[in-house]
Parts: sequence; structure tokens; C-alpha cells
Amino acid sequence: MATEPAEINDDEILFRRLAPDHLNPDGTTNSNAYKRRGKPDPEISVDLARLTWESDALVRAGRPGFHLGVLQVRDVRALGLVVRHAPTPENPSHTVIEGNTSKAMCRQLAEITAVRIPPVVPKTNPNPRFD
Amino acid sequence: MVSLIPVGLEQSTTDSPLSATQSFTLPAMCLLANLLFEAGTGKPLTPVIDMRVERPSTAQPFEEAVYLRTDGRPVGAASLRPFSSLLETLQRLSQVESVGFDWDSYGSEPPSHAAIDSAQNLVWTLVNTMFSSVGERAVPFSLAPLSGGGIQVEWRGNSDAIEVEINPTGHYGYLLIRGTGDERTFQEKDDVLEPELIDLVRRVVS
Repeated sequence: MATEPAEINDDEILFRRLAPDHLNPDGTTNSNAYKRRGKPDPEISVDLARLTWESDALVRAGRPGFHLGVLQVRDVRALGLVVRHAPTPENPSHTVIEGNTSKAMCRQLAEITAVRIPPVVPKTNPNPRFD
Repeated sequence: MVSLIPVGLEQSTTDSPLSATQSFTLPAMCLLANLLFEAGTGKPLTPVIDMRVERPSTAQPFEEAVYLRTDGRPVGAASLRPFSSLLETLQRLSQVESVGFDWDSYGSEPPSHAAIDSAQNLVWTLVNTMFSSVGERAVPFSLAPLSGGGIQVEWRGNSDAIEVEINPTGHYGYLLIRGTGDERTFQEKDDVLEPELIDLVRRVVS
């Protein structure tokens, strides 16, 4: 059963899952992160940070290599977009950004998205060789 | 005999049949595309039908030596520093071409063959026609898959930028960003013909 939608204030943080191909060569966010089927995504799925963990937001990608885009709600609303908590049974932190209808809006969303690189977990060789 | 304008190349001093008046340029293109371009015009040089690329032991990273032949006859050799931004773009295009289904974790298809072909043609056309006047700004700042099977390519100039969207059928759209800060303006359009797009990119990077 989904939890009740929560009020979201301007100081809160949103997480947007970013694929490796959503990043520019300089490490910033590409506007393709906010497009769906080649068009501006009118209902962008994000996670409300206070109701989830960074690791959970990344695990929902289903595979490694993804990054977290971090947005402040105030900045999103300043673009004229609506931020609405829309919890699901699988993801109580699920939130949507509504009203993204132009390429320019995608560009501006990308510009206010900070990229958080997940920490690198050192891998250990289970069968080390000692030559 | 091919005669080219040197652009940042060092003449090879060993094993070179070059005379003092010959030199070669933009060889990074030839590494991947089997083409050489004349520096002054960006025009492809088709007489070069054979070449051999070697990495001298003394070379800096990415520095190569190229030996050129026409009709089997050696015409020259040069050491070179590849045009790395173009190399990166072409390698990036190959990467984008190979992304699989659900590359974005939101269920997107990979880029279509038509989108790949259009992107490649657009990049080549612009580099070929603009390199001589704007240098490496002719090379895209970024190239990325677009959800739904398209590709997005961005060029940046001094204060302007243009995002070109190529949809799965190979058709174009764009977002043009002019200026910076509070003076910044946006203009966007879909179903754009290639000549109009090329003109816009040229204005952005010039």
C-alpha cells in the first residue's frame, strides 16, 4: 500500500537517476536526462531525498554505473514547474516534476542538476595469484 | 603530387621521402575515415589511396607517423598529433551506436540506424566545411543517445550553443541558446531541414 502524499517544501532535495549517457564530457548533466521518447518529459520521475537513501535511488536502475542527479526543490519551482510527491507501493519516495514541455526547460533542468558520483567500492579478487 | 598546408605537424626526419615543400595535415581524420583533408579548405583529398600508420617509440601519447602512397608510390610521411577532439567524437559515436535497450533505465530503445547515419553525416558535413575557419569548435561539444531511439548533438560557440535532436527517422529539431545570464534567449523548432540546421550551427560556432 502506498503512503500518503507528503507536502514538499522549497528546501528539500530531489534525486534523479542519471545513466552514464546522461552526462556531458565535462561531467555536467545533459538535457537528454529530461526527455522521454525524444520529447520533453512532462512528468519526470524523481525521488524525495528525505524518504530514501542515495544507494536505494541508484539500485532502482537495476545495474551499476549510474549517477545521482541532485536538485533543490526551490530551483525546480523557480522554473515554473510543479513538484508533487507521488508515492507508490514499491517506492514511497517517488515524486514527479510536472510541466516540463519545452527543450529550453530540459536544458534549464539539466543546468540546475548537480551530479553526485557514487563512491567507488574497491573490488577484491577472490582468487588472488602470488607470482 | 599532393601538396598540403601544415597545421601543427612536425616533419619526420627519418625514413621520409618528403621534400622540404611537402607536409600533411589533419591526419587524425584519416586514421578513422581513410581520408585526408586539405587544411585550407577542409576539402577531402581522394588521391591518397593507401596509408600506413605507426606509433614511433619516441612519440608522445596519441602521436603517430603516417606514410602516404598514391598508386602504390610513396608520396610522403609525417609525424602528427591527431585531432583529438574529433577522434573522441567519432569514438563517442561508436559508443552511442552500441548502447542497448533500456540504456537509460527508463526503457528507451537504442539509437536507430537512421539516427546514427544522420548524426554521422551532420558531424562530417560541419567539420568538413567549418574546420578551416573555426578549428576545433566545428567538432561537437557532446553527442548522446536520446530516449526513444534518437541522438542529441551539441555545438558550443563563445556565448551561444545549439542542441540538435535527431529523431529515430533521421529528422532534425533544435534548441538554440543565445547569450548568457539574464540576457539569454531560447529558440526551438522541430522538423528542420539540414541546410537550415547547418547554417544555425555555423553561426553558433563562428
